Amino acid sequence: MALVDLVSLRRPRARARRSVDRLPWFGIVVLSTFVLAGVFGPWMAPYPPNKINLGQSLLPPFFAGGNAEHLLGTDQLGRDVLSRLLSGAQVSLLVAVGAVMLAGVLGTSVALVAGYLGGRLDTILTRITDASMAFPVLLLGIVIVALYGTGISVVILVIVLGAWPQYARVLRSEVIRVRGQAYVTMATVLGGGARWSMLRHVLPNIVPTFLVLATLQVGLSIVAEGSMSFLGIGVPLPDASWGNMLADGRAFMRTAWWLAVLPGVALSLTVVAANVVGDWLRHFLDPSTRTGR
Amino acid sequence: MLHFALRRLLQGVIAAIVLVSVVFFLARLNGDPTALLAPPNAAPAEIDRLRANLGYDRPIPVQYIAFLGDLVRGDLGSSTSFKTSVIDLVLPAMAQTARLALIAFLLALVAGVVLGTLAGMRAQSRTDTTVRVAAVVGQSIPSFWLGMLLILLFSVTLGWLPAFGAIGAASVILPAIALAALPTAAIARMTRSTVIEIYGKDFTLFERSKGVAPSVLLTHIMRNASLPVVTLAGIQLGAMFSQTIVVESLFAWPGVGQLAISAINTKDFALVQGVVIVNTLVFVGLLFVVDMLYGVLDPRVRDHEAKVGA
Repeated sequence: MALVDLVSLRRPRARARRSVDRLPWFGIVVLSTFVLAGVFGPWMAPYPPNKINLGQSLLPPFFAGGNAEHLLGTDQLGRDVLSRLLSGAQVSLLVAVGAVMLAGVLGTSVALVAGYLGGRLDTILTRITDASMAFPVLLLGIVIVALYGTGISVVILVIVLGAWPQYARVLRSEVIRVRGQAYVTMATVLGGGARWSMLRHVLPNIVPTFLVLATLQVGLSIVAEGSMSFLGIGVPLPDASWGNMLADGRAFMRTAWWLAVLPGVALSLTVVAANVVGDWLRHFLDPSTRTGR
Repeated sequence: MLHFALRRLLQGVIAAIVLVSVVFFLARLNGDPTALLAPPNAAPAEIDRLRANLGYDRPIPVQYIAFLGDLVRGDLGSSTSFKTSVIDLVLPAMAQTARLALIAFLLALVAGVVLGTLAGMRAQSRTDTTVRVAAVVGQSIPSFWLGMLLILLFSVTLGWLPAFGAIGAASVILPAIALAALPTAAIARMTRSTVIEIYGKDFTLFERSKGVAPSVLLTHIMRNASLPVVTLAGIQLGAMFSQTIVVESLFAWPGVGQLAISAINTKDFALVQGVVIVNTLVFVGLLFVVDMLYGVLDPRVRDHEAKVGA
């Protein structure tokens, strides 16, 4: 039996460890660029992102015959694409950070209360979590926008409503696992109250799982914002977001391909990077997935 | 099995009622929806008359019961922008959405399982690396941008395929690929890791050392890998019905997504509500079918539930 285990496990484990020990440089570099662009974008942008200049409309990027005045070209209203991309990065960063933090706090709180206290409260919270999970986010977004109109805060609200059950469900089972460990029982035996145990012992131990979930949610949130803005139910015009820039670019696919391509490159690179880092974190923090997966 | 089916059916009905109720109460959070249902620029007297006509002057619980009653009879109100009943607009659009989503789903299932198995059977090979990288990218690229790239390549540059509308069989190809990319990647990843896991089990090691034909080995691996893949595929199919909204809007596909967006733009709340409710019911129905399939494939699921009664 021991020999069988050795034969079947040796190769994948050695290889998997090598891939985990290597930092995901691509993801780290792209994500850092994204964060820098989101934070310092307004100072780096060569033009105000909404400034219209009809005399300079539909200029191609510098590598496709454009000029150095507008490095990545201009759109149909002569607005500078680079400046709008930087402004879009700011929107995406804001939505990602806001949605991930709010959904994370909400989901983690539900998970702590449901998983640690258990009982009927747990049953009710779990049912609510499952029901919320069944509701498609975009449909929810359509109802909420039809009722309350568009805006960045509405986008964040919709994404939070869609994302918190993910945290709640995964973290609840983590809380139950940690609660069952000897040191938490000892803390209770020594007179530690429920709140003390939850915050001092359980919470720090679910942080690794939380980090993995949060990183993967960054990508999902950015895509959700992009989808909503693309549909015209996200960030309202004229403010730039990668999604509504792409929606604008649709009409110019025959004449100005860069309007349909560049915002998508920014969006996809960022999301790929977030997912790569998330996957790496998941493998790095969880030894059980280091074999094979 | 019958007990299992009934229990799941009841759960599905409860989920549907909860979700439909969420829509009802969301619409009444800030007052009554008369203003949303009235044509834009209606006079105050007209709004009051409409409110009485639609029954929004009654207490909320009474309205709620009436709403559920109308729903059971298939009455979703009437659209202010199209001047017809909502159900007559939503059902044909739903048929178009279902057509697109099902074609894309079959594409994703076949491509995902084939790619995942190829990668999993030759873990760490060049094929595996290619599939893995493609899957990460496929899971990250938003469907609407992939769709735009497909239009740029196959419609604008090459002129091979139509980019808009739902006329002729060829018009479904591009939207289906755009919609299928994400589920393909997810199914491929799941298939790959499951195949690798089963490949490392003692029974496959035994079969390999005994020299069983690869086709037989593959059959045994696939049968064991089918459960997690079916579960994931079910979740993906549900998600696709919501994701079609974006793809439909890009390709001008005449489905519920386009209907919903035009309803928002014309402030036609009855239509928005109708689309969301029908979509929710379809979604809950799909989850029920997947659960049933799961129970058929794995007797342990239904037996376990019968025993613990959970």
